[in-house]
Amino acid sequence: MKLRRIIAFILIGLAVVLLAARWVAPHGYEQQFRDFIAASPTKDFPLGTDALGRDRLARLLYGSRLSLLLAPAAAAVSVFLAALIGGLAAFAGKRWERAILLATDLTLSLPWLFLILTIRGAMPLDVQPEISVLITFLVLGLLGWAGPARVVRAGVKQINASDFVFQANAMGTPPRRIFFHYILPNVRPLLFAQFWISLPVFILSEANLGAMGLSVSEPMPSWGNLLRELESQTSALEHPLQNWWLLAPIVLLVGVVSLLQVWQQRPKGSL
Amino acid sequence: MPVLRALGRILLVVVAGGFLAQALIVFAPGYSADERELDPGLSAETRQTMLQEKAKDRQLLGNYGRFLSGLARGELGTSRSLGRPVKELLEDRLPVTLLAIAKSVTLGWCLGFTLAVICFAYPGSPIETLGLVSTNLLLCLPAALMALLLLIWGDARGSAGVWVVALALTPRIFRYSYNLLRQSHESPHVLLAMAKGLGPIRILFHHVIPPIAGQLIALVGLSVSLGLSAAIPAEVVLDIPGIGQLAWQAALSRDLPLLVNLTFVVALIGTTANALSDYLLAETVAGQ
Repeated sequence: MKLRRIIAFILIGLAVVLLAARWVAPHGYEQQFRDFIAASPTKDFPLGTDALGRDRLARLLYGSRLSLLLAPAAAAVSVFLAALIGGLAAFAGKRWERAILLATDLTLSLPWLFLILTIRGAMPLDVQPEISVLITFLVLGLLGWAGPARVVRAGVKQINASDFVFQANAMGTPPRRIFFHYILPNVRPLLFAQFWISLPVFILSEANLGAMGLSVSEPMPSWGNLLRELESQTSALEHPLQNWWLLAPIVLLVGVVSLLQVWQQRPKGSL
Repeated sequence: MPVLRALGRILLVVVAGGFLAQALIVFAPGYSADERELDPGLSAETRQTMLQEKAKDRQLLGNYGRFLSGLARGELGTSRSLGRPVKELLEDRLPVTLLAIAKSVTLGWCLGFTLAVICFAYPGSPIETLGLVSTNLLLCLPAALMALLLLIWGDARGSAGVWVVALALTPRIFRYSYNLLRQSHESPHVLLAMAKGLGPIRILFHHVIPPIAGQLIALVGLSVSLGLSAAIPAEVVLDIPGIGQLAWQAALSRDLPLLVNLTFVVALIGTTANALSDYLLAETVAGQ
């Protein structure tokens, strides 16, 4: 419990810093300094600059903010869809259940990243950066429902077969009231657990998509984009100790996802 | 009958998967845009033909019917972006990915399951802590980053792709197996075996592993699908000419014939692996 509190404290602290990126970052994420191309860390640029002369620290802060704020939004969309679809499968009769299970199997039969890659690839790639952000995370949210929906269906079915629901049915309680007053409150911890499980998955998926150039458009940074930038720095990264600042996005990404992984090992339903 | 049912299910999922992919791609907002339009050398007629080609794609049922009848004759169409028959492309690249996935799944299971057994055998020891921390760390690395790190600090050619996919699978296999082993170890029959004074190795192989064998087999099927997911960024970053890289190229160039065929292939691999593990599971349960 203590560990979970520490993790929550670190994550909330990080979120506050990232939300204040505008004031914390020394420069804008797209501001170019043509006299400082691919510069090493200095007082003005604590993590150096990239190949276009942009401040790496600013890009890291803004990129982390984007990934850390929108991944939960995508997870919320996916869990909402899972609750809707899984609840419908468990509650609306055999035909609906069969149809939804078939759709779930269909979605799950295709590898997650292949599906995202295919759909993201078909979306406009040359749109404004803000729209590309929305598209990327919306695709993640809309395609991530299948696994959680199966879990929600199983949970709703279990609650639906319990004594108190049986009693409510026997007393003539309308199905809608049963769903919203008896089933939904009991399935809520399951939904929170699914949210916490989805969160690191979405962060990693964005990172993978970004590394393949299918995530957020330039000049807007995200963890995926920052990883892609590293692909052109392979010779510098051969000496990681001399070029330690290049590793900052990796350290932050792995650190945050590690904290989330440890956090969700014992999901209790709320922060 | 169960075999026929399994084959029917595979066929249904693959056919429906192909249709779903085609529908999603064709009706996606950016599908009508084509990077070939940027070529200033194109004549107005060519541009018109390209537009008509895209408009034809929206006749979903007719197109898919033609695609399926072509498939039955062994004709998979031609890739629009690469200008080569899809059959040729798949013949070149599919063996590369399949072989890598087979090696990766084997390696991932060897690493993940062995580590789970070792950690289970030494609870509370530094070995267990090391196992848990290292797999947790691996779980936090996106496959693209693992590929990038291997590209920088390892041998980018040879077996790097296999290692990326295997290392992506290892923590998942470890966690699942480790939890199952611990759960099985708390069963009453294991407590009875311990009370009777049976040795730890005998308890592990005769009382702990057999009851969870079915669940482990079910994970083998899922590993193939997980492996395919990890293979895509690995092939892209490491420049391995497999179907993962082909899918990426097809997605970037909105190559519908290639994407639909790849969806077919990928769904076929995933569902066949799951069907095989279901069959093995049924055999194991029947044997028990």
